[in-house]
Amino acid sequence: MTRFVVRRLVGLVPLLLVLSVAVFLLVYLIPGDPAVTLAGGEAATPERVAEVREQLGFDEPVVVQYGEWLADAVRLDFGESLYTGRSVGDELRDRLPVTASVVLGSVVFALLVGIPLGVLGGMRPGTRTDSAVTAAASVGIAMPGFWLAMILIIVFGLELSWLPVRGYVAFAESPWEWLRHLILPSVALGTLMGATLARQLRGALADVLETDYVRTARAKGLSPVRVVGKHAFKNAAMPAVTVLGLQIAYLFGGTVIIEQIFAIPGVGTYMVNAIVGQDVPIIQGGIMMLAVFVVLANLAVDLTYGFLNPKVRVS
Amino acid sequence: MTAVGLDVPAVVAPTAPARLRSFVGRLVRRPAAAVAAAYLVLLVLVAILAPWIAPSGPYEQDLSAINQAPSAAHWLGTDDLGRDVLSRLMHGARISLASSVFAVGAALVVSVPVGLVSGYVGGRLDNVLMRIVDGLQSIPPLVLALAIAGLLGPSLRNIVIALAVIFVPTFVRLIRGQVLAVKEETYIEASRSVGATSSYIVRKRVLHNIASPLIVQASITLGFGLLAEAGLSFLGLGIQPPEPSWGVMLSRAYDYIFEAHWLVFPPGVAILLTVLAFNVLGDGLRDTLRGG
Repeated sequence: MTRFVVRRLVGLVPLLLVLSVAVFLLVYLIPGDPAVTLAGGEAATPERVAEVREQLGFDEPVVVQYGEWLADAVRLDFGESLYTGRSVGDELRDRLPVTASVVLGSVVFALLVGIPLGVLGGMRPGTRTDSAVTAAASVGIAMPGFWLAMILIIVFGLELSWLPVRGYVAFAESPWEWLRHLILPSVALGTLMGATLARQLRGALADVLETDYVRTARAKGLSPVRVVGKHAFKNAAMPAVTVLGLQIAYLFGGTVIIEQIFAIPGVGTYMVNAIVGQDVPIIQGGIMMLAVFVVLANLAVDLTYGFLNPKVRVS
Repeated sequence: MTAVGLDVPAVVAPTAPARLRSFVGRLVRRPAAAVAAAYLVLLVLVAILAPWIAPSGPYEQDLSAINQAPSAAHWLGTDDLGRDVLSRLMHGARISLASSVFAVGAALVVSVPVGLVSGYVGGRLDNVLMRIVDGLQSIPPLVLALAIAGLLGPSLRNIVIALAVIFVPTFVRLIRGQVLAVKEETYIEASRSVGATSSYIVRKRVLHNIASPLIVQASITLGFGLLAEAGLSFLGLGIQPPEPSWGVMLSRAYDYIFEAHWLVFPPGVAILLTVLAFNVLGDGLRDTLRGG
């Protein structure tokens, strides 16, 4: 197992290098001379253009620029915002707990909804319950998260006035308010994952219930609950774990819009403002950080897999 | 010696149109897929014919009738500038569908050759290409699309580019995987043994066999493209108002969510139904192609 973990960790190095090159080169997508555009376009004073050029290191060869950027990035120093001058690294660190709360809330919601629905459908394939689960999952997958967010705001915020529809309260300040502010964003963001999970689990469970060992378990008189709980679920959960891992990237992407809608001051809001304002150091630093989280989440899934299934460790 | 001799089949193969007809016949016998396909055909017709069949132009304002609920005169109501929501929805379908279709098309143009070469040639080239794909795939797709669209500057063309970039890794991976699976099949070995060139094998044998999963993936990606366009436009990094797209309409509706919250529903339901239709059609195609 140790060798497996080490091999996976070493494998991350080239991936992270490729990633950093891609993220660094993003700035060259800006049409024309990036320094002029970022300094404010044609109207920019030559001094400001020179300042931006210097701050982003455009006066050096690309390879040198990249080297310097990477050397700072590994120390979590992504430079300063072009407009406010604030350290990108500090800002990201302050906002990370906010985004992490939203993502965590979404995963919890997805599990709470996805597992029961998936089991319900998978236990009795072909029945009306199963069709209802499948239909609900299909709608959940096709639903734009930010549209669902608006409907939740209208129903629970405006009509019923049950839950706050804007802002965020830190856990340290008030755990209760923290939870209340997270409910609607988590539902909006977690629905896609919950629906995908339900669909996967339903399919996997239906397949597993066809196998010989489940028939044996049934034949020896185990109740349906014990058959699923003790024998089938664990095997059906394997593909579902993979799906959850793949969905993490979508969660970090979706949170960008969801934070905007609920006015949550997380990494997403920070990124959107930076992208609109073409604040390059923030864009590079933010994307790099999100990507590293996705990579780590996938690694965690891989390791879980290796832990659950010895065959994976060898191959 | 050429490989042409191997083309003679044991039984007379049905002609391409006949095969297509029988395929469509099997597809429409799945009720869900049939409904989805019918809806999409209808939607495409509406999008194409919007300038002629929409009740009014997408920019026509009537400031004496703003934020109106649905009525006989305006079936889906009017927005904050008194524009007919139904008309904007129909015109918006053109832009929303076009951005998704062009993006998937552009992504295929890039990923088919890359995936084929990566899978067929293998070795170090494959290794390098796959690391790049891995790298791109670890960036949350929506964030990458936002960054690309934001840095290039918002426009229809740049949305298409941004979406294509986030679609390419999935397509390349799919194609490469299929090529690796097909490469080991006996009939490929047979082609090679009678002297067929690599490019002939790839074009005539491999490509033919990866078409099915590719079509399924394309259908599902079209739905994802629609969602992504809506997201980009919603954040102001996609289609720019006053041009109507479903994302632009949702963004506008969000600004007036306190005054006129029914405006949220027409574009949202349109996106939901269309994405659902692409997904259901994709599932139907998959099952039909698997031979059912």
